[in-house]
Amino acid sequence: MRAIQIEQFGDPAQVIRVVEIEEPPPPGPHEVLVSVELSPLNKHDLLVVLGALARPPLPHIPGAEGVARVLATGSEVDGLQVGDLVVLPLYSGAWRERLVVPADGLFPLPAGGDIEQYSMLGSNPPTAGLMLSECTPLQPGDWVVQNAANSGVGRSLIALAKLRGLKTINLVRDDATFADLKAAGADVVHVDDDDAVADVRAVIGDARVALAVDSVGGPGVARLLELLSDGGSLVSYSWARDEPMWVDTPTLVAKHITVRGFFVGDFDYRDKVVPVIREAAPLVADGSLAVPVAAVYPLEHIQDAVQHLLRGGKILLKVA
Amino acid sequence: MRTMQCVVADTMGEPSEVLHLQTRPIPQPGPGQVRIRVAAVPVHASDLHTVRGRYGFIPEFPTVPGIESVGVIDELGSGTDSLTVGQRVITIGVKSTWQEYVVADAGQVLPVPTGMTNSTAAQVLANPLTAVILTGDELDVRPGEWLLQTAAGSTVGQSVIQLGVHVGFKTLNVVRRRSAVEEILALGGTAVICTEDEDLRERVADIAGHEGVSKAIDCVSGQVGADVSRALAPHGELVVYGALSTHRQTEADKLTIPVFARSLIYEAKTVRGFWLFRWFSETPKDRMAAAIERTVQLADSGALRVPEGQPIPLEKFSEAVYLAEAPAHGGKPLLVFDS
Repeated sequence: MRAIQIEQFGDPAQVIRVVEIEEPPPPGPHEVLVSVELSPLNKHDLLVVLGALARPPLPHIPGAEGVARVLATGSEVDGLQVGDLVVLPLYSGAWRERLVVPADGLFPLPAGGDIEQYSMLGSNPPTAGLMLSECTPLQPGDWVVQNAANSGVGRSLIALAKLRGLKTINLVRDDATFADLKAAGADVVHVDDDDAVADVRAVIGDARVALAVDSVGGPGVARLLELLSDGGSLVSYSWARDEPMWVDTPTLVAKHITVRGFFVGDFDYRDKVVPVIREAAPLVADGSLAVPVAAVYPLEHIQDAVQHLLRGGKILLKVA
Repeated sequence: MRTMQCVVADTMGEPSEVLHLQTRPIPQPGPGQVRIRVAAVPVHASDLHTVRGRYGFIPEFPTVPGIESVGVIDELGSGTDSLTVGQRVITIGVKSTWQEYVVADAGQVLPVPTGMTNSTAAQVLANPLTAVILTGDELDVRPGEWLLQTAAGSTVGQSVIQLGVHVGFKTLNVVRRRSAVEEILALGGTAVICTEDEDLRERVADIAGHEGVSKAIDCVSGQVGADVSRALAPHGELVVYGALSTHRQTEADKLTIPVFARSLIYEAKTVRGFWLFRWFSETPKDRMAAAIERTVQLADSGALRVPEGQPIPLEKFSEAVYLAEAPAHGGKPLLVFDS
């Protein structure tokens, strides 16, 4: 069967190869054999290939997440049938046609949902949902502000916040997505510009903004810090700009703000990821959480897919 | 009506331009309050930054600066039975102390140990207290652990070094100038990094080795603050308690820390702000009392030695304002009152 593999770390254009590998063994009693249907490309995948993060043993098959179909179940597996669609466990190496994974944590996705949308359940919703629950205590009615709100995590955050009774302030690059994000449940949307702080405060008054979510970095971080209330937390899960977060020290000090990062693959969250995927699956099934897909590439066109990812947009790999 | 002298800023601005002496009525203590005849108040750089509107909060102008004082209770309001006229006290988190008489809630004053000088008492509840809180409640630095700190030669920095000696934690001290290194080592600093001619991150790796450093405090901000954050081990915590140091800081990039998202995300580091005045208003009473009591005891026992201040009469406040931000000012300028 086919897989995408690296034998050394480096520039994806140089080191990523489509290879033939052996079929996986039959599933053990508590495992299932699945065929990988679709896997999104994430910046994280490229960082792994570059060797910029904790380095896995080589050769390595990348692919942080994906949606797969059950082909066979182990003798002790309950609750899963051949043909069910499941969300792959994070970092199982999704860029191969078939693999065996533990059945623990897998559940059948609701029938009739969009498989492309299902393929993005593995990392974005848990990233959004766990940032909302693990970074700072939030009460229903609290406000959360995020930039890059039109991203996969951004849309997941809007949907999960709404489900949990939280309100969202969403900063985006331009107004083209305003109507779309409003329809998706965003409470406030604004262009991520110099007027954002005053305009947003005019709408929400002195309501508490306990959490700010950044995935852009650079000078715009100042707006998030300004919107945060005293004692609030700023959490970053990515950086679209290749520059640091410019954290204004007087604001950090005066408001006792905590700046931290969030990585969904952190060991501390290992038991918390699947519950959020379960929480988000019905939202994806009924269409209330949807992320526009820019393109779907077949496995053998991985290089085109990587180039497209670098230009921007949500890219999926058709694996099996 | 009896009157007193105070130092007032009518508007936000450069302290040397907006501060002046003013005569005001002596305030009366209400129920639950006491009045203190002030003996000495320190002039901190942070007081001047507050007047500039650049520190934590913007006061309502006209404003009397000052956040610490030592003096003698000269009048009691009703319901203040635990205190007596003539008692020497320090004020806790009371603002506007640059005046001859200060009114404070009974809960905001603390009797001064008999042997403690006014100079020490007047200075103990800002910088030494900050050092106690940062290394205690904020970071819980344990015996044997490393603490990385910038501005090690500052008043807070010196208190941190002394606390390291007392508690048994190791201080890794960052200073700008090589000429400061000897003084830091003499105070009991475990190791010194001099940014004039050394690379901060390389030296942290050399000194702390494989184990690394997980706890740091910074009040320099800018690139140094960023280097400190990057030098920390995974799960490291950096507490930022200012961007001020001791000189006039107006450049915006020096008031910013460029934080690399990647190391926060994949190494689970945190950077958080600490401001003493917010601590005064937010900390549960028992915890606040414990930290204050510990600080006063450490100063009384000599474990924390507060450098002797330079007494300056109130009418020469301009001199004190200048000295507070002079590059090498010796002891902290203290406004003293001898009415």
